[in-house]
Amino acid sequence: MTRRALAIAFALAAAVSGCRAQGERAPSPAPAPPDAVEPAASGLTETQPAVALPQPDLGYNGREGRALFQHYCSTCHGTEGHGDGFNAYNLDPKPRDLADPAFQAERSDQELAAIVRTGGAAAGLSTGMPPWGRTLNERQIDNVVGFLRTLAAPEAR
Amino acid sequence: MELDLALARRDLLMARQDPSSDRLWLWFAVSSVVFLALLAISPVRDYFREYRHYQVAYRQRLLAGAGSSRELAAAQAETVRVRQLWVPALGDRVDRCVSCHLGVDNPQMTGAEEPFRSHPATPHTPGEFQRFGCVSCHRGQGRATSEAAAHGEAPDWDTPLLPLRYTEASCGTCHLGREVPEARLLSAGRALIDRAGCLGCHKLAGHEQWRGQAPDLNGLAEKTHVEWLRAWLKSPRGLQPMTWMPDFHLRDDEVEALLAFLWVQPPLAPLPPEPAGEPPPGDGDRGMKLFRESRCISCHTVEGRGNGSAPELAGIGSKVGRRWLAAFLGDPHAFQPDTAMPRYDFTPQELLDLSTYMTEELVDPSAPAAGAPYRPASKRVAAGEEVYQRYGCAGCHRLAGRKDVGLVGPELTGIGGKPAPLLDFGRRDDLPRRLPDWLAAKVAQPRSFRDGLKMPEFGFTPEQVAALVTALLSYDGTVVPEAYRVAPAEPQYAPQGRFGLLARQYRCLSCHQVQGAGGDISTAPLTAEGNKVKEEWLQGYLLLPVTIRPILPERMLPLRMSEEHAAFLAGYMKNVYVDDAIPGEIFPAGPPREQAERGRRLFYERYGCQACHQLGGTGGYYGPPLDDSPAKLESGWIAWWLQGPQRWRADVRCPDFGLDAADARDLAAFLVTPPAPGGPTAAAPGGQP
Repeated sequence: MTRRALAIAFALAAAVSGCRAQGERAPSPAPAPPDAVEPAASGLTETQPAVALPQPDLGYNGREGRALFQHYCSTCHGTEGHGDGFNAYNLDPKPRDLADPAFQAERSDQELAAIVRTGGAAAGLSTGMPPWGRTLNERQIDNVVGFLRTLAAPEAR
Repeated sequence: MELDLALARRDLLMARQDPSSDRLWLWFAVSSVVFLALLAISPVRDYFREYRHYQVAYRQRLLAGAGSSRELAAAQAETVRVRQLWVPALGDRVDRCVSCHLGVDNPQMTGAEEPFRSHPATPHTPGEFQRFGCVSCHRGQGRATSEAAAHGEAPDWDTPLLPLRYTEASCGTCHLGREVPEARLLSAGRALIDRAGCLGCHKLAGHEQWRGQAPDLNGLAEKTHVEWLRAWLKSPRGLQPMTWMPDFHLRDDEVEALLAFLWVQPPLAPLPPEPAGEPPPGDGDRGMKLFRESRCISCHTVEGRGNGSAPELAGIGSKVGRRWLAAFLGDPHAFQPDTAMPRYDFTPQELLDLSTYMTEELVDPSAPAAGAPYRPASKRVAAGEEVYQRYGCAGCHRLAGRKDVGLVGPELTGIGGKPAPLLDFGRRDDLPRRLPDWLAAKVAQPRSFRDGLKMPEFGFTPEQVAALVTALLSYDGTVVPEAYRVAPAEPQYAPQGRFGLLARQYRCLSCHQVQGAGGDISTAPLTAEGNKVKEEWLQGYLLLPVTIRPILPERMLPLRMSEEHAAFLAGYMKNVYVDDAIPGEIFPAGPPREQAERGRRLFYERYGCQACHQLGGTGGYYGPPLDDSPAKLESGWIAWWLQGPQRWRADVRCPDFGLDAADARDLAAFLVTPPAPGGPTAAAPGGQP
């Protein structure tokens, strides 16, 4: 909760100060700026997710899982899976903290893969989580689940 | 007969009495034993080969793990034998790796210890072992049956096992294009070879068309001041940590000579004359607003923020003069004919404001200040020309009127298959005598091998080094049969006519792709833009782009084009950038109300589109806001898109929900229904989500 409050405070501060928050790193990306549908006069509001190169030592599957998560999932789930992505603030319910060890312990790989594949609605959860089974193939889904398992122990990545 | 036997017995008796025949007996006995032992070496060695031991152990694992009588029978039927993959199509490849790596295709061996572990899933495995064998990806010696020989550790084997972190290099043997979608490390490395300028010095077969992105060097005396250029030549990253320019570690005399040579190169375009007297003052505040509005960070970075395909702009004010900057921003193509930068239609006052802001505010306090005027001696200029040629500056930079080609380094063709004994390790005794280690050290510390080497230091990160080594290893000179080759045709689209002229002025293809050609800064390909948006919307967007994806720093540039240009470009794209597979208007009589209402419920309740899209004041900011869809999007395109967004572009993030045609049409009807005066959308009376 502190993290979220901090992020919102940061976003407000950024908006008030003409969106020139340079050199700082918010604990999470700022939520959507108010100028989203206005002419591009916003200035430097971006906290772009770092364009990370593939990590050679993760192995092929580790690299794929990580890259797919960053590409498709991190906008809502956050780059570290804490449910604090750029778009998380617009969601109700909010994405859960995938890095929470308790959550990790109570879900099998098959369960996680099923949610990725068929989405939240099919499991009686939020429609905010779309089904990815037609966008990603089974190998890719397995690799994303493999990446999720590393979230609880970030130093292992 | 009896006589014969008697004679033989007598001979034998006589021989026994002869001491030399005793020795003969001894020799006979010993040599028989030796001969037998020699004969036994081969079978005994074979008996103790690792693979027998592994096959016995593997069989026991299978027996222990058998869950059904069928599995049990299968395990019992296993015998110890040499196993191999035979791939006739790849030069009669015979790979016996599976004699030890017994579980490669057994999913139950996931996570088992080597050599039994099952092969991880990749785009070609487990389905295609038989098509590729093992060695075509992993290298090593396929026919060998001992571990050391199979892994290619024999001194006379030129292609030892590839370390696992570099295996993606082998994808590049068949996949010849720069981008190999499912081989990220290889793709990153190939992109890096292009971007870092390796090919400016090193020839690489098949890449002769490469051109550097480094700036033309004409007219530096007008562009910058000599103290800045001197500091830059001494240490580019010392002035600008983000730069792609590598550090050549020039000696001071080389710096002075090169400086002199560069300083006398004439400009490509004269600076427009300033009005007599004091130049009219620019307004820095207006300039700052203009700078931000102009979305420079769609390509450049400012203090690290932005796309980063164009140079960092923090510190630009310490580098270039205001007058030069105003002239450059007025017409970048006159100064840098090949630049990716568009020519905005700025007014003279805007150029003044913008250049004032940038030269006064975007300064680097640690950069050297301008000094006294500089007039190089002609002797120095001649020496500088020699430095310019020796280091191959022309490989990446261009200088009008000169024909230097760069290419001063050794050719890279086949580098990925070079046998380790042919590599010059120089004084790097610390390195294992292996190609990947040599390559990694070469790109990371090129000057560490011996004195007098010319290759500059790039300051690559460990990830960049790994990507580069992977890419270099992929150029191993192997030519695979046609059936294996994946060589995407180089896209050859270049717009023609008046549209082409304007598209080049605004450099549309620096960011957008059309028919696969063009840059990758924008996520929006224009190939079928005419199917997607309405002409009036496109015209308005070209005049004043709205933010479509607030999450991205890369946004459409307000190019300040005239209405006439915008109308012409929009009309051309509406009529020419079309794909007949995408339907046009599907509601000629307007979207039916009941379809729109069903679409509204699908949008909010079934598919949860609001998670990513803004509509009527609620929703996410992941995808584009949809409030302007009625005025922006074509209904046929919406329905087409929804039934497979990845057809538009493979990495589109909108998931493929597998919508049927009816759902897609209803959603399209909902989205193109204009909002009613009283509510957020016309179909909203049914209630808010």
